Amino acid sequence: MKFKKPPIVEAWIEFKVSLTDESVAWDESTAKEFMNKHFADFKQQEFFVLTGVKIDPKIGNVLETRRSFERVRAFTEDRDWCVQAGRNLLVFNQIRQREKEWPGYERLRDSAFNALQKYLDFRSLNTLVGVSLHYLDIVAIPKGNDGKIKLEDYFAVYPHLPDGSFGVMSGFQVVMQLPKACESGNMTLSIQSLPAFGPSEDKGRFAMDWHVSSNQEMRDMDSARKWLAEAHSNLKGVFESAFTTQGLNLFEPEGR
Amino acid sequence: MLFPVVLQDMDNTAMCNVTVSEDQYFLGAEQLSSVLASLLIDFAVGRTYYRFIERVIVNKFPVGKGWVCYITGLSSYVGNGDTIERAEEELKLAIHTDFQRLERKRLFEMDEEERTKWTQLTSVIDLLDYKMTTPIVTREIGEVSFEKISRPCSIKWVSGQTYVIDPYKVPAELMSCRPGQWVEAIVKRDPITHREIEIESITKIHFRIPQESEVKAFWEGLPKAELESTGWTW
Repeated sequence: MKFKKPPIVEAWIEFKVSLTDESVAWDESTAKEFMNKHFADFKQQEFFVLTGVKIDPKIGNVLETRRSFERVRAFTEDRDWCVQAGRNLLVFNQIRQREKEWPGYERLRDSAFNALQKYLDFRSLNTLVGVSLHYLDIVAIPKGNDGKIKLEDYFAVYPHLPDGSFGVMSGFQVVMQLPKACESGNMTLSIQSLPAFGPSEDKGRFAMDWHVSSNQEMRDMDSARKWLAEAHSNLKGVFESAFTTQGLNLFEPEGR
Repeated sequence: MLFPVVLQDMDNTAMCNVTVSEDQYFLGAEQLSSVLASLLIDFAVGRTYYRFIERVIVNKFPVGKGWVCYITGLSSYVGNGDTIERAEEELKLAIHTDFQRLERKRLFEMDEEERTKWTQLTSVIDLLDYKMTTPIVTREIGEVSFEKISRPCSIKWVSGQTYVIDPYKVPAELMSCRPGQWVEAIVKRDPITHREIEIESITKIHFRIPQESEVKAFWEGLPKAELESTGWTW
């Protein structure tokens, strides 16, 4: 099923690599060199550094400061694409920009694998240890005339309170593990209600984080591609099952 | 059925973990590769600095024609803007405005809504750190003294304290003062020691202390009060 207005606001593919073949130190200058060489269009660069300080409890002096470079993030000018590179990981993000059309999974996948190849070549690394796929959806549901939302009208998956002393729910956050949803991976779904984005907000918003990570070592790029295709297909299936027909209609399915 | 509530912190009202997640993704925000959620430990608006009690997560989402952002745990504050940066800026300004307004009030001066907001703000923003690091800005009057050198050397405040002038740190206009010049100064003081950190600006004050004869003449020139004579009964 294809949708004219999918609720996706962000998606990313993350690759974890083995460091057994590592021969060159990964630091800020190496990361900058990698980005400048291979991602010239990703001009907005951000560097994440972790700092730890050890302090003498008696006199309060700083005994040791440890600084470790975590990852670099680089965005395109419109900030609709982002590539992140760390010592043992590469992430490729696709971010929705306002009302622009969502470019689709295939473009994300191809860009991510293209970036991965460049990363592996640059770092002289060979082995992938894991792949994951993540979707962040924001589902906006119009409130009824009474200002309420009936979750069961839109969601097939939702928290439910029994009648009586619980009263009503004003917000929720649920994390669910779905071991059968993807045979070769771990799938997790997190659903939470979001705060009202304005005093006259006529919609309730819900964030749905879908995450699938591989539970097997990837021998090569082809096995990673194969796993990702399966993970994406499984994720698509559970996404459609997570809503009622009325819920899916919010995303304007094509061909209905 | 869900009742969306605007002011309530919905992130913390109903938390349900069905089982302990084996997946590291939902255990710590720093492990997230999302670029729409970022960690923040402090922020500044102009020269005012706010530190959070612990790292907070700033969430950003595209909505309609723009962006919104909010901080997890402080969700009654939402920033809207055309861009992510503008939305973040609006969020910071909204927090800054309310914090400054409420910080100047005593608890008994706040209504219920203000008290709720203040409790929410101070459970995320480090109030003690703010008080210990934010300089006190005062308006003070003092007299410039040269002592034994040929330039302004100190200011004797009307409180009796003396401030030793460092020519490299004071507004240049102060160095143009003559001995005995009175000035009104905006002074930044350390919130703990109350020592002067910086003189931000000065304004020269021109006045003349009248002679004793002038004071006497003024007093005598005042109209005499004509009170009605009447009998008081106690």
